[in-house]
Amino acid sequence: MQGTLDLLILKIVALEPMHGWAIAHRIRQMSSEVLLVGQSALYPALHKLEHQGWIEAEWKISETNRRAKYYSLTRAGRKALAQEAANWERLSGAISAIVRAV
Amino acid sequence: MSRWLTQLRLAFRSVFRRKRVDQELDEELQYHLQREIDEGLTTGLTPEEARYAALRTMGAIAKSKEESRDMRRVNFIDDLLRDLRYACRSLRRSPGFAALAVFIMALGIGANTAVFSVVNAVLLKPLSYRNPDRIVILSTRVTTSAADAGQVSLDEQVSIPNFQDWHDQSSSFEAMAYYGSREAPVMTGGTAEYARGTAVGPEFFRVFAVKPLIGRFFTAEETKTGSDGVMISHAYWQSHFGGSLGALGQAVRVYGRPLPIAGVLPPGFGFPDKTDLWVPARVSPEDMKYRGAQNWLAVGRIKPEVPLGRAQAEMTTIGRRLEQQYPEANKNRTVGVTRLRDEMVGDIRLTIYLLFGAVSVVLLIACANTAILLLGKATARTREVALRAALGASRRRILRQLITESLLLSLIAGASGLLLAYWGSKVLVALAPVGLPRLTEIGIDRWVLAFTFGVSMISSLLFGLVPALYASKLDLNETLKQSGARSVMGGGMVRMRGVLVVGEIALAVVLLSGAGLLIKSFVALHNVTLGFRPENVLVMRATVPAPFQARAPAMLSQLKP
Repeated sequence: MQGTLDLLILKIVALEPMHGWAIAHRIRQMSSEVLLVGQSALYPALHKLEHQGWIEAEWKISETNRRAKYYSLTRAGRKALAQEAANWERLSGAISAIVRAV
Repeated sequence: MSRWLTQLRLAFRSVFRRKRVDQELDEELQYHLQREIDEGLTTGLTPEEARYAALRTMGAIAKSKEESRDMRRVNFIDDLLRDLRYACRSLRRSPGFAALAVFIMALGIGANTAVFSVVNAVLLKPLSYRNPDRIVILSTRVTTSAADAGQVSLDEQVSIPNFQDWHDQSSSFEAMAYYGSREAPVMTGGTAEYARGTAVGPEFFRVFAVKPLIGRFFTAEETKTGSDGVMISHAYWQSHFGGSLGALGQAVRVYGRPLPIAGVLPPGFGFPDKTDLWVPARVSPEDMKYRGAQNWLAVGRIKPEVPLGRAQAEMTTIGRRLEQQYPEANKNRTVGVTRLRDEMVGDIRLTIYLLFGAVSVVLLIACANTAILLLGKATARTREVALRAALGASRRRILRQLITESLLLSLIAGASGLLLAYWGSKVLVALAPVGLPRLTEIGIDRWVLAFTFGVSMISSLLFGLVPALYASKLDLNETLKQSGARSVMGGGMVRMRGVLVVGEIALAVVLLSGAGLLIKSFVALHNVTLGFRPENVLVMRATVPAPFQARAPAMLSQLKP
């Protein structure tokens, strides 16, 4: 669904600064292997969020001793996350209400 | 705020450090790939298999790169830079066309810039006094009823008794002063010369809110009694005393009378007419007595809270009262209050606007000319445009490309026009009628630069839009089917060219007839018979100081052959 990936990314990097692969990995883990994010969707989304000023990037040495680009949440990103999360709650609540009723 | 800055910084980085950004994206994706491979290895795959599996899960890397790039949303700037590069190439390919178009537009823009530099200096730039809009010229406004022209108002000088009443009865002014100015014989050291001397009333310098650079002004008492003393301009101080502090107290002989220098005015102050020396006005007993002796000029500074209209209304009331009180001297006379700037600029305003109108027409003609050139070029490049369209460029994209080309042309022309204007404004200054105010202030400043830039942008649309619209609107099928270099001009294009040519000729006729009329009246003015033969007649003027008046006839006879 449009915008869902953005919400997931924001939520994940809110926990700690993380590089792209770890973000994808974490999403897979936390969703118990239900949500699989390919890099072809992940990196465009990351770059878009960075250019919106919601996340910022920094090159660091990763746990495998290689240079990796770490993303972390900005102040504006924190606000956006709160709003997106609220939106999602509303939307998913509404959808499940309908689905259950039928 | 900081978020906005971040976005801007990132956008800049994507445009200007493109290579670096792409490299980083590569590295980022490479890292991802490596981690996928590592993951595969831990599950027991061979390196070969792990790599293959990783690549498969990652999907199309190139596509993801392209999308990441798009997400940076800097296509607009990217496209602009690409369009500019393309425009440069396209202009270089047809240097003859480019040179001609730039030349034509440079003439148009240059002429406009030159005239605007005059408009800017004479009409727009504020006078270099403090709160110049509050400084007004006060005059005796004489109303006469002419049989053929109805009521005519004329502003005249003022007499001292009337001025005193204006001064004492009004409340709209912070300061009001009379003054008189003339070329006076002045001796400084051993040299005698004419310098502009102005005799001023008590509040004169308060009207302009100036302070002396060094020394002091005359005291109110000194001005009232017309005592000895002189203020000199900064320019006079520099040229005659080398800017030395020792000038204070030294004597300058004006009309043979030695006057000690009391002070020096700040640079740039020279009211009126680039005055060199100011002396306290000596008002003759006759001037003191007769209301009809309109021998003085007057200036005033309106109080900050008083609008011009109210000051004028008050002075009109005072004028009416004085007319009733002293009908023999003040019949049909009231008071005129005119902003100093309006008074200085006066009739020249119309002339300058006329000139501005004329060069605007020149610019329009230049635009029409360039548009016709571009239309011709558009015909020649239909195939190029068709090819771009066939390769997927939208009409809007092609339009933008063509307009960028016009913009580039226009900006180059604007820069050359600025050079032309630099010389042109000098020529204008040299040709300017005597008495054009504020001549020395004419030059290229940031307002003129902004004007040139604006005119260049607008002209690029004026001459570029129509040809671009025609060039980008084409039937793909038809154009691509036509064989080889032969291309047919569409009916619309022919009609457009006709319209442009007609418009251009119409404008040229307007301009020529205007210029013709001007020249005709100029010639007529020169051919007025004077009633005598002016050949070999010289006019000479000599000023004889009062003490030497008796010797004047003898001196004059010495000049006779």
